[in-house]
Amino acid sequence: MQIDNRRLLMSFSPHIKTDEDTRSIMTDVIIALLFPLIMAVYFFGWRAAFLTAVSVAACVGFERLYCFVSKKESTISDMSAVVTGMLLAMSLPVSVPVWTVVVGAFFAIVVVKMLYGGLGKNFLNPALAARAFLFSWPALVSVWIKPNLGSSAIRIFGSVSRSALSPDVIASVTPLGKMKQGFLPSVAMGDADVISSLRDVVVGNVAGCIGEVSAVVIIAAAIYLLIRRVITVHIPAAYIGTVAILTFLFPLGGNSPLLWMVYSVCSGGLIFGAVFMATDYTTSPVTPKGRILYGVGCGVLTVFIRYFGAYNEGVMFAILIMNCISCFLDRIVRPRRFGTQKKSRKAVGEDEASEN
Amino acid sequence: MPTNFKGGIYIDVRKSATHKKPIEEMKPPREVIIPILMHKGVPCGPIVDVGEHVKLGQKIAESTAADSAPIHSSVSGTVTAIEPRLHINGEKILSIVIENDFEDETAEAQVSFDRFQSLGADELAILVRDAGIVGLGGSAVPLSQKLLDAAGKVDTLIINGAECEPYITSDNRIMVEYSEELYDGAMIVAKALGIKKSVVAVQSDKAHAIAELRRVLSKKTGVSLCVVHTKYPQGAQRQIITAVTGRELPPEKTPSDIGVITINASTAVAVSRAVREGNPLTTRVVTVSGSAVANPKNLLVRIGTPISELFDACGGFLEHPDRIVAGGPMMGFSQYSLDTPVIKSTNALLAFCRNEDKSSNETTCIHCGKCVGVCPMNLMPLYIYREYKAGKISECEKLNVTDCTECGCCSYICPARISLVSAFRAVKVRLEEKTGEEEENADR
Repeated sequence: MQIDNRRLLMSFSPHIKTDEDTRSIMTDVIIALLFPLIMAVYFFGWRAAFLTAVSVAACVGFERLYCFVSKKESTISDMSAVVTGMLLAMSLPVSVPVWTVVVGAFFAIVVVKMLYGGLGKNFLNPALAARAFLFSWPALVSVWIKPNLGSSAIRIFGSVSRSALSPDVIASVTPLGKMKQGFLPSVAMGDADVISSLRDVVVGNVAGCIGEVSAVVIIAAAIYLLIRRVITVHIPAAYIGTVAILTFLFPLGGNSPLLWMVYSVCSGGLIFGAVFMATDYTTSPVTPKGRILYGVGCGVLTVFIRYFGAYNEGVMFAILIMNCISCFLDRIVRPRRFGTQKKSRKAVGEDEASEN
Repeated sequence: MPTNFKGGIYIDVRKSATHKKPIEEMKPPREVIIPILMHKGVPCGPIVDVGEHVKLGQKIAESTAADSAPIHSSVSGTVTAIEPRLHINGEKILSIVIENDFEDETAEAQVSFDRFQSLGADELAILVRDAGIVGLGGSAVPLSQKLLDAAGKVDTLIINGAECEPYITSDNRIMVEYSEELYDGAMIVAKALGIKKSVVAVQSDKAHAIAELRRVLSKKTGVSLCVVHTKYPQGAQRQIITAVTGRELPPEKTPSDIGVITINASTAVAVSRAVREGNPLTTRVVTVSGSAVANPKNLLVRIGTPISELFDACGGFLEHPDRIVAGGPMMGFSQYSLDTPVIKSTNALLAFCRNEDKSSNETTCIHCGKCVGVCPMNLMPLYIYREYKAGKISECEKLNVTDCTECGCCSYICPARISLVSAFRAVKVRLEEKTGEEEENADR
């Protein structure tokens, strides 16, 4: 065969690359997020899926619009807007009005992500920052629906205001709401059977946000992400581990440390946050040590806010605070230079020489 | 014994096309093109003239510099030109073109070899230098320089048979087919340097070579076998030392500073040949593979053979190749012409169809940290790249960019397809220029 030299491509080494790219990673995250979303539909009805779809559409739409207006090449094909959309909807209660999701999507995509330069440049997790923004209307985002009412209980479309809902549907309080006052949810909810109450908390048969209710399913999603090497174990393990240890050592209201710990870990958005929010690439450190420190920081702040803060929930603010110091962690926790014992630029031999 | 190192990538080895194919001696070419630079160090100067008749194994270029290795003719015939020709590294380099007369009239060995039983480090260094032996695994460091550097300082000899780059099987076949010579070469070096502990390190994917070496080494003493983890870049000097000895080679040090000398498996065989038979380095084994090659092979070729003839010997191309690479896919050089010749360090020639090349457009860094996880040198590639993009070259230096061995793990794993290694190569060139300028200013 005659070889045409002009048809030979020149490239710098390495000449081969992994199959994995940004899009495939985001697709894996989307697949993992479908696990808890399916549980949410089971517990809260189709409205959970509807809100998520609206959120995803709004996020992708705003990103496309932003690129169009700012005359940049469209970035929606990297799928990160879909992830943000899912994360945003799934961190809200199923009772929120549809327009809040759209406002949140605008804030997440335009303000937090695109104005900072797009994917990889934002310093806060867009979905979480938008959730914090929506908490400016506490009345809208704090109507909790009892799970497992059957799909007819909540309207899929349209308004789900407090007045529009029948009182039977509204949960008086989330498990964390009771725990804030030092009561175990089983006792507070008048549930004498500790085991069945515990099972509800673990499986997700409790009031809460769309994505956060089912601990076991989120753990399954986390295992999927670990197998696909999308996340490393450092952040979720350090985060959940820290919360577990602190709540075990300091249970409120004189409760049994073990029970208190299990409820604390499985309630609220802790596992959802630790697996999906705290592991956000852009807003978390890159080294194993940095990631552990980051996870521990999230855990300490979460317990602190839950115990002493104004909110029942600590996860959101804990992660947002740690987002802010993530790049600082990357700067102080550098890997040891190869062939040296310390983080200094000195070689091993030079260290020994200076000691002698 | 530790057999692993930190970082690196698990990568499909893609060696099945050639790893069982015996080394096949290729018909000598009509013409060889021998560049005066085939090693790491100072180029040689030609010592023959155009029109002169040369013999096979005759020295045709040499240098007095310590970091150099003389060059021998790989055929007998007539020198037809001494002119710059395209080199595998992409530059035009002065080359000696010899027309083959197919007589293979052999030059007489110049060094007497009957003293090999008692060869000291200095004598062996002279001998391997005279034979033109350089690191055949791709480093191309003159072996004499390595031996002199190691003399009196090392306690461990590592024969590097990791061959971690995908596709390449030339060392694998050498270990399978020339295990006796490999042992002999290792013992010659070990005796000359007074080394007690010699280890052949083979990556665990090479079952055949491991079995063969185990069979040979079990009957002998002095050399042991160490099976190392299959992970890229296991065969890189720093990583193989860590995997075998647990020692880490500090920046700006040579292996002898931590008591180790590493020699590639093919180089050990070349040492045995040079000592026992007086053969200078005029041939080498090249793996020809890749999706575009009709019949992938391991070929024993004369150094200086144009690469087009190697592809012809493998049945040509199945379809027009998209890319030709000399060396491995992780660290090799892409070629824009098939006229370049095989040099001493060419362990593979690869031709890829488009489907093997998954590189796509560069997107933005998503800060995933995968590059940090895979870097065997404990660097933070994404932050070096960020400083590079911001034009802060001195910040890159603070992030130890000079430690980068250009193994390519970060570029391989990057989901945003950022050409990190190319950026670091550019940074290192800029840093060298900067130190050069500073030295110049200091001189004034």
